[in-house]
Amino acid sequence: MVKESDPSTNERELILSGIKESIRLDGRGMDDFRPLKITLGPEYGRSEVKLGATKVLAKVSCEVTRPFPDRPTEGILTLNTELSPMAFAGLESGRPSEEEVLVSRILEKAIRINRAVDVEGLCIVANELHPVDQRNPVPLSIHHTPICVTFAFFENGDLWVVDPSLKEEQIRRGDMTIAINNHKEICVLSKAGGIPLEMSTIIQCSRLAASKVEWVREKIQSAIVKASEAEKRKTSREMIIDD
Amino acid sequence: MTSRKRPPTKLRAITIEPNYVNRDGSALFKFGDSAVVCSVNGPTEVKLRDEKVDKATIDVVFKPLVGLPGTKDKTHEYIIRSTVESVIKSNLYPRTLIQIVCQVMMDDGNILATAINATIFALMNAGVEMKDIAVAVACIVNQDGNILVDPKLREVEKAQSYHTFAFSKTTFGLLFGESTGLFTEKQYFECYALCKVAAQEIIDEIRVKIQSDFI
Repeated sequence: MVKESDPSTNERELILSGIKESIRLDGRGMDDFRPLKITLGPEYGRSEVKLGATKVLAKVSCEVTRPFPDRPTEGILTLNTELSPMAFAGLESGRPSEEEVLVSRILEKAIRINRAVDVEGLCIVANELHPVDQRNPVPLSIHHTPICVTFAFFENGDLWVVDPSLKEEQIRRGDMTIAINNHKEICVLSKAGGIPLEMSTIIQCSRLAASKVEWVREKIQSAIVKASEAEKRKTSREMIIDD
Repeated sequence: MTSRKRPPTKLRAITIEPNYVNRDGSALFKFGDSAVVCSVNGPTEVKLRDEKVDKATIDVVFKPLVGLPGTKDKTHEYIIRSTVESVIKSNLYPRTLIQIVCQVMMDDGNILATAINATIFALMNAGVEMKDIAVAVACIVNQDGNILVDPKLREVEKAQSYHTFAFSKTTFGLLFGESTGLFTEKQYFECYALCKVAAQEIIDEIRVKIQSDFI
């Protein structure tokens, strides 16, 4: 099967020696994110996020179903993560890779186990369901919004970068992902293997993550504002022409 | 019943974005809001059990927007594979794999034709040698017996019959045709003729895109 090639020894040494001098391959500082672009729409529950050259499409869909018998007052929230060979050559479709399992596990912890979405609010009363073209959909009620920040560690853990690129991920010796919500609470801290870290490093990282989360949240807010304005324009236009 | 303001034979706006993802070749193809991204890897190493000694193995993965791939998506994979197998010069790449991944970005009808067009453009973008170009377009016959080319999702839902055709660019012969629903022979040939005209439009669009980007 197709394999994504590992960085060569020269590449590895170049990236490492750069990081030692606080220089990254793409010119970022150690605590800089790549440019973030969030696009919402054109339909409800669809977003495309670009972080540098990394692209992810997310879609929320719903259907009417019977709640679990032991939780009759709660709706069901399922998360599905898919990494196709489009993202990463060498992935075999049908069998989840280790990366995919880790990503879906973090999402599961941050959103479902943290109760970020109000599942009780998903319940419907019989005969009170309206099609989208008759009534505007009600926004999902969201308790809090955990946002993830990833760190990569090099050498013995003293050197680290935020938001590692693919090349940096390939040569890292350890990684850690922290999800922080809008109340500045740590929701998920995932450190699956890799080198052991000093307590002080983890605290330093969480402080930085908290400020990065604020930055991401601002981006999300402005994307929402932009999307709702576009939605308003669209509805007023649709009344005039309908192709 | 909602009637559309767009003339029955008019296609929605076509958008093509080559190099959409960082692979050997890729493209985003859109009919209006319906969008499919296709990426091509290859020719590359093939698993021993899939290896063919005289030609390339072509593997197609079709990912729906929502949920896990089902029977319909497997059918789409099969259709796309058999369509591109007839145009790729696969004997130039023996013992290799050409891996094609189609991801639906938004479904507003006519998705199979969108996927075929995206695949062809991604193959061109990847520099895979082809002896021909396939262009696909769909149409429906609605309840009033009118033919609507490039239908939107809500038109497809109310359709009497739904037809997807893929044509060869050089001969304008039919490469692939799929029809569902009830229709007469006369309706079928009318659909065929209208889609053929629309296919010419798509070819022009692709040509303009290639000229503006590469020449």
